[in-house]
Amino acid sequence: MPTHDSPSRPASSSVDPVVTATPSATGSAPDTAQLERVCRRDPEALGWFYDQYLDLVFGLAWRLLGDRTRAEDVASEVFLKVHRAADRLDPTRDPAPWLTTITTNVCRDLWRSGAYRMSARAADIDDPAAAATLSSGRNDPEADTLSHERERLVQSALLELPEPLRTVIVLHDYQGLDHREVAVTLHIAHDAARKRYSRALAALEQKLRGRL
Amino acid sequence: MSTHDDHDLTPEQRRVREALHGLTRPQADPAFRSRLRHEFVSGRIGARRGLTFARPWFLRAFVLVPAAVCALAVVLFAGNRGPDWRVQAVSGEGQVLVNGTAFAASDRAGIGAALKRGGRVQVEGPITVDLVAPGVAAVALSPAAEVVLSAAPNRWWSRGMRASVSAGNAYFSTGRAFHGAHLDVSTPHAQVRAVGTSFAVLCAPFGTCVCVMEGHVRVGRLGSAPGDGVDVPSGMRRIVHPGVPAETDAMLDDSAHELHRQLAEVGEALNR
Repeated sequence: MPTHDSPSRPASSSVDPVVTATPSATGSAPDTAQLERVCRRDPEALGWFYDQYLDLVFGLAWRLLGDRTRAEDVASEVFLKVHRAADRLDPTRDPAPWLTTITTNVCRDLWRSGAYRMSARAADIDDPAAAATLSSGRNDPEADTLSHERERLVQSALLELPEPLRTVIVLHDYQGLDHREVAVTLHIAHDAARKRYSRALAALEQKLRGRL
Repeated sequence: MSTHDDHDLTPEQRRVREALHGLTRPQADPAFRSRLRHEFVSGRIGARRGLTFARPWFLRAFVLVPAAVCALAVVLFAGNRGPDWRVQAVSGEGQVLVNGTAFAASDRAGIGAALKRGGRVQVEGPITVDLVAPGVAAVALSPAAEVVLSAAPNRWWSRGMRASVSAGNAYFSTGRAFHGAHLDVSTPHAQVRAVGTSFAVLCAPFGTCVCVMEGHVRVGRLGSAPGDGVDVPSGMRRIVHPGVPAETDAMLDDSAHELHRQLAEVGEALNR
């Protein structure tokens, strides 16, 4: 029986170019040769790195912030940091956890900023561009509508959670990290990560009760 | 709170988890994706300043530092404040005027509230009022006494206490927390400075008598600087008459009796 420590994610649809639930690079063996070239800031390798990991960074930022513009800002900031720290990248290790940590930290910095607090209420998760991008491409308008409505409900409920709870549940259930990885990413104890996840799941269940 | 494994989840929680697992991974706008890729690959992204996350205005140094200084000042001033005066006992029938407001002798709460940080006290009628600033000082006022009392000494700085006796008898005793402070008492005829002691100031129209039961008291003529004058040892009294040389003699029994009574009344409150 799977536990929270070994989250199982549904396989993404192969016909759907948009839905890539699990980042392709996460959990896979690192391409050491490419990463060594990334360390040297080889343009071709940087392009490969960007193509591999942009979706991971952007998707995580989007789910944490619920806003396309902010997610783009965060993605830019993350890749800026990556570029600056490229020579310190360990080619023998999968960079996905590192990118997840950077993305989470940048989001947390953003949450703490005055500009975010000032504009938080104005955030609109129903932005039409987002809706278009989230479309599954199944050529089934009714299913798309239902699916989109369900996504909207879940994302809306996620955004109502306090940021620490939101971060934990997104990292665990959306990003696919186990509790130990969540704890490492957030610099908290393993038990604390588990407890925070339990609270987050209970809170989210309260908000979505009878609506799914 | 316990953490739960999958088998602990409610059906509703399972549905929530499934919904989370089923969330799509949003894709960046193609224009943004291509622009950022170009910047990242070409290295132009390194020339960027990066996002600057402005702290909320209330977390900025120009607000935090003065706020911290103000908070520290408030804490220090609040902590430095000495104890309030309170009425320990009132015996007899009559009234007490505090800053011109009359209180029945039985209204200890009213007198105490009006006299917290000092004030002008007039005792009318055959009553004795015992005031105490816990741990620091006590003053007993006899019938017909008229005294202006300052607040009790502070804890760390401004540790002076002043009293002015215009008429009648006032008995002063200090407690353990008085250590390091000083008490200046003035009358129409004399200036008294005490540093931890028990003494009486008897003020009559024709002169002032200072009886010292414990400790050291310096008594000078009116107009002398506080601390100047003659050192009066315990068990002695100093009598100051206008126009006549002051004299030192043995302490009056009545004063010793009254000071003993005062200490019996407020000794515990003074931690003596």
